[in-house]
Amino acid sequence: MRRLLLLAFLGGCQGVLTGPPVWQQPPTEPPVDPHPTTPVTELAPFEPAPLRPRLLLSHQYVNAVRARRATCW
Amino acid sequence: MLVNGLTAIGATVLKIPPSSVNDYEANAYRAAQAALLARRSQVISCTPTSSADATCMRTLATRFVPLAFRRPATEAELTRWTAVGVEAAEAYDDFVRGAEFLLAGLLQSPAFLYLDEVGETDGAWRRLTAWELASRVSFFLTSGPPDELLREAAANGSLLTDEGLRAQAARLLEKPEARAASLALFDELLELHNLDHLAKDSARFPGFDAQALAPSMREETHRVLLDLVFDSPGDFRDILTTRTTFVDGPLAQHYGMPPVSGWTRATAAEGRAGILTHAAFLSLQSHPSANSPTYRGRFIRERLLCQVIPAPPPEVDTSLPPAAPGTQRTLRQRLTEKTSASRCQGCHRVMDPPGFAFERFDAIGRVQALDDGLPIDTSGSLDERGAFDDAPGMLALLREDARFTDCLARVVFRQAVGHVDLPGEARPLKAAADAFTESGHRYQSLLVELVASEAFRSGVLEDAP
Amino acid sequence: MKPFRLSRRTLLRGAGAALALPTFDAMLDSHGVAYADGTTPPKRFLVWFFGNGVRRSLWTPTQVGTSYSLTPELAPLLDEARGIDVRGYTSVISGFNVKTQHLRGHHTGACALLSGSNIVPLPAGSAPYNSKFGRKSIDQELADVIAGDTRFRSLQLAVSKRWTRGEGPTLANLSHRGPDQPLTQNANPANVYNELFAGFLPKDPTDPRDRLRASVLDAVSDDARALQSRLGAADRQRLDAHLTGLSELRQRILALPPVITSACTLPAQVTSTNADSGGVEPIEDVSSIMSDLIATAFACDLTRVVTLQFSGSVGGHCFKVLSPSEPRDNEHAITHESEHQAKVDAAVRFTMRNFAYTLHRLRSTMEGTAGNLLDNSVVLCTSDVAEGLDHSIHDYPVLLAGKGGGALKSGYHFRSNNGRNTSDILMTCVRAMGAGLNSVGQDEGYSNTPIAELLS
Repeated sequence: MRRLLLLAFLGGCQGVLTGPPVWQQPPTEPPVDPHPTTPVTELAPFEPAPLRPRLLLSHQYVNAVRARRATCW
Repeated sequence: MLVNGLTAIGATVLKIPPSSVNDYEANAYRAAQAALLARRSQVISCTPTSSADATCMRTLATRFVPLAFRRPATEAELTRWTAVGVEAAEAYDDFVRGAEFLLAGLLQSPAFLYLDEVGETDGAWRRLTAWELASRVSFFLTSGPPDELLREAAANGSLLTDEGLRAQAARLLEKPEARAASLALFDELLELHNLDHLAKDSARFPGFDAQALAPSMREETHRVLLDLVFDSPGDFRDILTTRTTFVDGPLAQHYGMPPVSGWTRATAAEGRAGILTHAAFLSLQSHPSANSPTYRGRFIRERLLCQVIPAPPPEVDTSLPPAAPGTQRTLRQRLTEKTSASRCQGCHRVMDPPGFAFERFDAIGRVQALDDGLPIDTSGSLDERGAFDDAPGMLALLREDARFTDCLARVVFRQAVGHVDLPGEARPLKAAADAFTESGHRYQSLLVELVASEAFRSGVLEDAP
Repeated sequence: MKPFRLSRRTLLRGAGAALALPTFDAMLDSHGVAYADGTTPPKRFLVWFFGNGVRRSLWTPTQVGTSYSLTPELAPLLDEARGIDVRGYTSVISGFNVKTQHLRGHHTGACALLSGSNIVPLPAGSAPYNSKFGRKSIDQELADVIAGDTRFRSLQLAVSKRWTRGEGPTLANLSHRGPDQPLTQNANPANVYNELFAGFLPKDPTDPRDRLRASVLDAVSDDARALQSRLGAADRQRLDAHLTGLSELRQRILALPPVITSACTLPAQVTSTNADSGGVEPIEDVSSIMSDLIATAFACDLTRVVTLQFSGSVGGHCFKVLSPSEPRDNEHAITHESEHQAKVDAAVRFTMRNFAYTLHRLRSTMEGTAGNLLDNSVVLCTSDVAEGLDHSIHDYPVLLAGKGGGALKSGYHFRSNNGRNTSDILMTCVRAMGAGLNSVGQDEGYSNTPIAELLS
């Protein structure tokens, strides 16, 4: 949740989520990410992300084609 | 296509352009023809009894559909692809031509082109199947499809156990392909691909040939990374501080080091520390003729600390005026004056201080003793982490900064799974980062921990039909 | 240019072999000259885009109406030394403002001028400047309506290779079939040539290859649908896009060779790959070859919609030819240096010199008695910012060229004195193209009001 608040703050800073853009109201402190000092056990329980099909990257594609040619075909 | 700085994310959210469909088709026929030319007897493992022998064609399909799709084939797929081969073999009265169309078809299929992961129900979530997991691990760690041992581990289910998965990940990291796969991420993280188009002002840097030196710049950073990750594995945070580096003749000359022939391990001059003091980084995060403390500092904030820096405000002249005639001003002085307005300070006081640390290096990564004839001030402080005098001092602070290891885990994870980590994934990612720390910051351990984390192995399906 | 020869028999054989006849086949007269029977040639749409804006004080004419004088930056439209005069074909539009939200420099203008929508900022990750279009780009809106059964629904071309790729789809691409489907531009003239004109090769009716390739694509499509059935809505759409690509490729494979006319001739083989020479891009050479290819693609009705990115927003292109012995940063860097604005001006003039050649090339390609290609085209020429120095998006530089088959007035300077919406210019394109769309853009970028003064 703290991370969410941070993201909301930074997002607001970006003029994307909420609040005025940073150049109108600069933050008084540099961004501080509380996450590294938060023990794992205090973080929210895991929620998995959506599974989505992913196109092979170009080097993966090249290697996949090459692997078929070299080892199997 | 890069989205959020990573092609892995572009590959997950974008639709493919029609031109790619053309390219895949052309490549598929080329690959199939090449395979049949070079290895016909291995490919056609049965002896066709006629030019369009359906039994032998089905034997080919039975072997190659699972290989191409990286999972067992369905009966519908075997029937479909056998028919494609038979149709072509009949039309040409030639079994080999039939095999060509069969193979070329498989290489265009979305089942080959996409890592398609839908998992299987496991309580409220879905867990990747053994075959999906095998592909995800393999493409993440080796940029290629699962090898025979990994396919075995998927088939016998051992990949679904924690020990089995970790053992396979550790094994894959010993393959030569793992080296190139790791570099693919660093190329994007460090924006090294932009070296292809590096251009510097020939009047400001006479005799400097960016295109000639760019490959050496990239290679230096690659070699330091490979050394620390694979060849002499050590604390990965040393990438920010190590003076161990590798240079070839042109690069040694560029740095003012003693001449070498071929690639040679070397110790960088005092004042340099790690990959952010390499010519590659320093040149990339600069203007064509001048340094950019803002670019350099922004890079550290965004890419190494995972902080968000907003875009500059619209309708603002961001150019930096030269010093008034007859006066001397360092770049730092001019930039500080230009950005003194409060509406600039919100971001610039965050970005610029770590960037100023690099001011003793010029826009092509050489040492500069003076700036406009004035001594250079590289001191500053990194948030509440402490004060520094120069780049090595700042980088030593960064090395100890838990935000850096945390961010590294997140960025590598993004590459592995193809999305920006979500708040719900913070817990397993923090656990992986902690395990990375406990391992003595071994990068290979980070990779194995990420593979073994729940976040890598699980997912949900959104509004499935 | 040499005429491409096909024997009468080849043509007949080809015609016998396949599927739908090209629509304009029936329009040919007995001499094979297109449109001699007075039918109307198709209208074409070209987006000609350059990065980083202009200097308005040297760009915008002071007079309005038909008697405007060419300004320094527009001077290349009349270039007697090169035999180029396309001034009468070009309208200048000034005083228009981008109405969408100015969320970030370069992104806002590119997205507004090409689609009439707000950018969609992407989640930060480690690269917060990323954004995508909020909507399909105008060329794709028009392609939906006017592409017909042309071999290429649209073409995406580029001259400079150094466009920015690190800020997401908005700056990396001109054409967007939708927010998540940017279309890649091709900067390699030899590849473009091969892709465009492979279909000119006469087909051997005894070779089953194309039929079999189509069969393979059918099987591939079956695989795609099987995968699609297991996915959520967003990803079903991604597979839809893949299926569309497969179906378009299938149509191209089975299509007949283009019909050869006096205007549609096979250009000489192009071998340029747009490789750098000594670190310098062959910009002007590539621009002129791309112009030739566009003219032929239009004349042969291979496509009716093209986007050409001469130089990219925030691109790393450098017009070294302008100062071979002088220092010169990349053009984007120069725009941000207030003391170097004269160099920006030179870059804009160089850009317009290349634009003028593209128009000239279209103008010198005749379509039977139906005028020339430029008579039958609408060309939108604009940039991603008004001026690069301050990322401004008001009083935007836009040229509209061509006569749109008689629908568009040309040689006119239209100035808005009340800061009209730049999307009105897109709506003008829609009307001039005769596309039955009632509006363009969305939200602040919405428009259903074309510039009446520019429509005939």
